[in-house]
Amino acid sequence: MNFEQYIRQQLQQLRSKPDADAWEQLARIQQRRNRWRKFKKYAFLTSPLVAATLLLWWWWHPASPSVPAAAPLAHEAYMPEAAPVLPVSESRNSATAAVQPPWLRHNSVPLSQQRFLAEDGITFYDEASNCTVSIPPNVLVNAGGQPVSGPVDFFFRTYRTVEDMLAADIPMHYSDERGDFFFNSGGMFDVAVSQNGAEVFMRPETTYEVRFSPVKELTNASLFYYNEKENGWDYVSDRAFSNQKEGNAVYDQLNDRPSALPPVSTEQTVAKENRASIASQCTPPVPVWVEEAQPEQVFTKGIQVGMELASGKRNIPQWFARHPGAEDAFFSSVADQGEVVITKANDLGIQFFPQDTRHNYTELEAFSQCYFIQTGDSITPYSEKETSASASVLDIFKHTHSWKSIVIQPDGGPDCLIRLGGEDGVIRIHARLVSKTPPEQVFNHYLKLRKERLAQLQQEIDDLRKFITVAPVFQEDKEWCMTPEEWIVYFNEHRALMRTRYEQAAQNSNNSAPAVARQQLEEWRKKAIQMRRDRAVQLAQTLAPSLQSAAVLRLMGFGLFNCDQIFRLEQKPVYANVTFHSASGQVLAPASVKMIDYRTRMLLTFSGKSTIPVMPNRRMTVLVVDSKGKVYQLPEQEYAAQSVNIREHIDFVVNDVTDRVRTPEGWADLLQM
Amino acid sequence: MVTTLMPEKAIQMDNALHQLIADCNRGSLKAQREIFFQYQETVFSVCLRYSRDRPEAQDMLQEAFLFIYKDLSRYRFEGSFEGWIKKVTVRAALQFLRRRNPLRLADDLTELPAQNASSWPDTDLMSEAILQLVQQLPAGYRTVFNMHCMEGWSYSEIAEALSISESSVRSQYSRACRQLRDSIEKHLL
Repeated sequence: MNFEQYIRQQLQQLRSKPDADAWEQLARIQQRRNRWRKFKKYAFLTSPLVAATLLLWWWWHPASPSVPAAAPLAHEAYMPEAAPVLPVSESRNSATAAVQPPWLRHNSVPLSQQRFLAEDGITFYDEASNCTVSIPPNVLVNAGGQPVSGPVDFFFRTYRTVEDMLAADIPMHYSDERGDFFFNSGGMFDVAVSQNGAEVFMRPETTYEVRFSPVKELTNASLFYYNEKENGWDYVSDRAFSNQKEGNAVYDQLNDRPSALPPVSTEQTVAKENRASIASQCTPPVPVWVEEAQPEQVFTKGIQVGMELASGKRNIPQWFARHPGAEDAFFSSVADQGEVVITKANDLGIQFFPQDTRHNYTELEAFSQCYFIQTGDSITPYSEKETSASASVLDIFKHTHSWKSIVIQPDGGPDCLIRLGGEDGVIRIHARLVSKTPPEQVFNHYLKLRKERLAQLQQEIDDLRKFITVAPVFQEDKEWCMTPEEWIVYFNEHRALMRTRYEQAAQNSNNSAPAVARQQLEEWRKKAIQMRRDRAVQLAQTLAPSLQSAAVLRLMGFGLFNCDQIFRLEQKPVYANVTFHSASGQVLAPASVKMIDYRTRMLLTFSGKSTIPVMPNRRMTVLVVDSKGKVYQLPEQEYAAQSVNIREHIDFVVNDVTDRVRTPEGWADLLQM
Repeated sequence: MVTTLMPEKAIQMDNALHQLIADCNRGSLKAQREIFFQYQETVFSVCLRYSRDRPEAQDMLQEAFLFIYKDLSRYRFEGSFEGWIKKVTVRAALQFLRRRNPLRLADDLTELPAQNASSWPDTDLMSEAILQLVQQLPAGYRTVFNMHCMEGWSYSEIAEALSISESSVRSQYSRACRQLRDSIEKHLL
């Protein structure tokens, strides 16, 4: 048999199965295609029926509010059938629940409503937000510009917290000729008036008054108005909130002369002012380690590590200090990094050995008496970027190219696969070890050293986690307001205080029997949970400062208004294409995508739904709302783990949290901000 | 005229295949799943030969099956179904490789000696080992080698499919064989 026949015979005998999850991955994609195929097939058959139904609906649908029918003036005739009749002799401003018109924004944020007579006007005080709305008499007109009289329905809602805004699902970004910006909101209010379900408006050249107290003191805050047709925000004025400071507390839109464009704040200012606004609401995180078998051991270890760190016997590594809440997978890629270079063994050119100039990969010492040669032209690039640099190892020698990670995988005998990872991706070099010592012995030694090093790294991570978990038990109130990253900085800056604190804690824990320690831990846990529940209740109550700092706004139209700073992120992020999958594998079609930065307490929303910023150094959670209103969350640990390897496309599996976030309180509980 | 009747079992299998394909064309995930599990080894073996490693072969497999489901409506029940699946898989593999890693096949007009058709001793080198050596070939060599040696395409067919000259195909194939021989010989040493 000749060579070709031999090879053909051997390869035809090959029978190999793909990985067990191959079908699952394929099914996800194919299911979508099947649906489209079925739709195409059945749409053809059913389209005449659908068209007929649409035609019938259009013919039957009542006239739109923009062309109102002439309604009789008798009071009884105004009342929709479902609503009770309101006799004129009863209180004019009765709080009878009016039917909410379909064009009114519907969400779980509490809505206030009141009925009044258009010829009398209304002064409405909202206790929850400390806001007052005053509509003068005889200023209301219908869509056709005709004066409105008789009973009308007033609707009012405020959005004061991040949780309110999430519940409302309103975009919080803005664009003008300078580009795109994020909003940082000091609160929003929504005013609507209707008569018999039809929208009612202010007469031109008249104003109504809103006394509104922003929930935060924001510098450079402007007033924005939500354009329902464009589904976006319009800038109204930069003078609506600045007038207070100048002593003239009234903003009059009729005579306003705003700046052409709203002022821009820095991210630093936004973060600082956000944190200042919630300083009184900080609560400690609820510890979860008490559910482990021996929490008292976690407690003891946490104190011991605290002592060592406070006394300088050990230090918190930067990779942990920046992301203390991250998962193991994140740490193993971020912490396990070096600066690996491929060095020529001699002038023969093809012999080389890897060196880590940062001395992280200590297991490479196993190859100190050896070198490698590559086997054939065997660079195997991983990413498309690497394709253009798919030179041989010899070319790498010409450039000062260093790699962040290295793994050497024995491949039988002296052969191995050297995997080098860097910012451009991963390359794999098929190589052969040249050594006086038997290659298997060298490889075994390498693997042993590597295993030991990784075990040490894991131990360090576990110790630091215990330290961070236990820390809130000994913190003061103001420290609870800090994020773990901020608190680590605080810890390092107050070593003397921490030393005293942990010495005392160590003494107490040494003197306690394990059972007593466990009881104390359980009491602490209950206390932390109660504090968080109290905060959730507080969210439902007024957060407004006194009326003295209220802005008085005289506005020409009803609708949704926002008090905002606009800003951009200081470090321009990389945007990646993303696909969101539910836990069952279904690909989601997002109607909106939001992200929350826990550190700066910013809510970021995006006009696009298939790209999000990838910011490895931030604690972010991602929230997705689909077209049916179902809400999904990607927890911050998973975002952080994914974003370490920035790729062009990322697949996220997100958790359905719809049932948990039916109210703003539910959002607060989910986010635990 | 002699009419050859198909054995009963073959008729039953044929009907079952007809039904399976019809269900697939209707978008039945269950039928598609059945086809996947029946032919996954066949398809994966082809993908392994065209890819540089297992992860790439996995990606290629997925693409191949998407091609298969898409083109099933064009299958005319001429020739074996497995043979048709292999053809579609090869086509998917080529498209995958073109997209991921443009085949670097430089035109080489150097006259090469005729392919050595001398006999090759039977060795106990396992198929998996040979597969690994094939995977270590540069992408261009590997593709041309697979298409000619394994799929039986002629040089002109390969040249047309890869949009390169026939002489390039010949030289790439020759180099692939030479490299493969050297690797196997070294392996056996």
